[in-house]
Amino acid sequence: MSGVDARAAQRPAAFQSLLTPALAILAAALFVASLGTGPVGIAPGEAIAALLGRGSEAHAIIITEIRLPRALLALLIGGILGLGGAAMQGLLRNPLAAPSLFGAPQAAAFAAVATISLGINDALSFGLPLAAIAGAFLSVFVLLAVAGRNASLVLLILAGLAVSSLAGAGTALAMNLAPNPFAALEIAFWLLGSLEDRSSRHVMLAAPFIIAAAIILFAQRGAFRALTLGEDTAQSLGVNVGRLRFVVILGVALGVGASVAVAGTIGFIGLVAPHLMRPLCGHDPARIMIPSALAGSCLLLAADIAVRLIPASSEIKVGVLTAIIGVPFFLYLIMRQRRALAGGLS
Amino acid sequence: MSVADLLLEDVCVSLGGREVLSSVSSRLAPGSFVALLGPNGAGKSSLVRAIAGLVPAGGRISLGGDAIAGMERSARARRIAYLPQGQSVHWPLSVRDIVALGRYPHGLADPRHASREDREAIEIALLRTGMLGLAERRVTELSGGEKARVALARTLATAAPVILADEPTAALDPKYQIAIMKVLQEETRRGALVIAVTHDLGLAARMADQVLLLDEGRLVADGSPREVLTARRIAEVYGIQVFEGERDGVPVLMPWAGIP
Repeated sequence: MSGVDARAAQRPAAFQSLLTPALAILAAALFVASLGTGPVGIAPGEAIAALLGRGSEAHAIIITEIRLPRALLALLIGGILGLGGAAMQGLLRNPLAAPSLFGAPQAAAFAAVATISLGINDALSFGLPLAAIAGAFLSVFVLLAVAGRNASLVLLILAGLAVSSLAGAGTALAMNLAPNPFAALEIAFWLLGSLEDRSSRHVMLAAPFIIAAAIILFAQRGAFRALTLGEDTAQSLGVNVGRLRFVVILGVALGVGASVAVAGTIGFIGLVAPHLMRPLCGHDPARIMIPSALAGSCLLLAADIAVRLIPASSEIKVGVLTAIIGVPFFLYLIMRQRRALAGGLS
Repeated sequence: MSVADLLLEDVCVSLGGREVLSSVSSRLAPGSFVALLGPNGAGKSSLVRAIAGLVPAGGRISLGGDAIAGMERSARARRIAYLPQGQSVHWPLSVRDIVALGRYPHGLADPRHASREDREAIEIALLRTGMLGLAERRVTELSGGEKARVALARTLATAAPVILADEPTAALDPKYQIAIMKVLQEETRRGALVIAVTHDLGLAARMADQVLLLDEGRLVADGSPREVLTARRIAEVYGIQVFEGERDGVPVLMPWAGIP
């Protein structure tokens, strides 16, 4: 841990208690900005009026039918990705952990793509989300079957790597065997990850799973703090580490599966959000959870606004933008952790 | 003999199909300092981990008549505090927050919501380990000796009647070794049963009330330091000669030379 981090970690408690409200206000502001952004510019005041059923009818339709689902999904998906990242990092006690580590998003994407390729679904049908959630669940069960319920973290990470590689290969095969070029293109676009053209039905489908996942993950925060002292000590303090691992993976599968289902794969929010919040929360793996969720929401809302503002021949997919920003960030984190990582996974 | 004794009856531990501890039986009384000795690989850590409930054990381990295998997790954690070998702290929390984790078995998940009882236990643990002045520091900024004391303070904060310490003085300078052992000894005077794994024959001979000597998974001797730590037995188990002395009626033991 660098000296800069250590000093930042000593921020007074008063600052920490202001963090969550400040992030909530920022998320609300970005939410309203998201409602106002698009081909038809709508001022924040008008956007709120339209939400409340006042103002012009055209604006009301644009807001409630097109932009509200999009903003809600950014809020929910960004939030669960941030929370899932914080939970995974708490479980693995490693700031480089992210939900994609256990292969759930890749498996969800594969399941969805397979159904497109087989012609069961098209990219906008409701069979697609169901398949993605099932894929995320299946990956968890495969992971636990391969690694065993009381497996070491190294074993889990390796099994997760195998699951995600297999899912990636399956996705490639599905595209390879796609019935026609349009199906392959549809798959490719969907894989990029986007919140464009989502309806309130998408929100209704994803929200219950995401909310359940958030409740499940948030409830484990005390155990994450106990895990600061390692698994043996946590176990000796009364934490059921085997059960905790199962619950976290289940929560992540639910949240990530539902997110991938309606928005494709949007990466790196789960890595970046907790990292930004960590020094502001005194590095506490429990206190970081709500700020990480809010920061995840803010990041995805902001990215989703940015893709609508960046001039391009066709709208840049938000998953592409988060990857372009996220991957260099990931490399930077690896560089900073190089010495610790060279010593092997603990 | 007391009703709150820790009773080991034919305790066996197998790891990966190999029996690392076979048929260990003993009775450990509250208020006593028990030193667990033996060469590397003798099964000391396995015995401590079995008592802590971290590894499944054959036979029966009971505390005050209650089998620890049948205890609910947090109930067991309130009665048996465990200080593992080589403390690792994965996030740079403050000393006070780390010590507060000792109250986790009492239902304290967030140090900000500590009850008066929790706060008292945390302050007392910081005080007894001499860490009160460093309570707001980050553990990552501390020296090895200070970290060891934080870990001990966390263990004391649980206020458990049984304290298990796996090599609590390893890698510490002599001053900290003595300081840590003194803190543990004070806990026994307050009625706690302290079981400490150690390689320090001298500290064991001097401080322990009871010594359990393990070799190749078997309990080869169990009794007072004078009974157990004889030159002949040490030669048999460790393959070394010891220098034996005495100061103020307390035995002094020092590893001296290998036996060719």
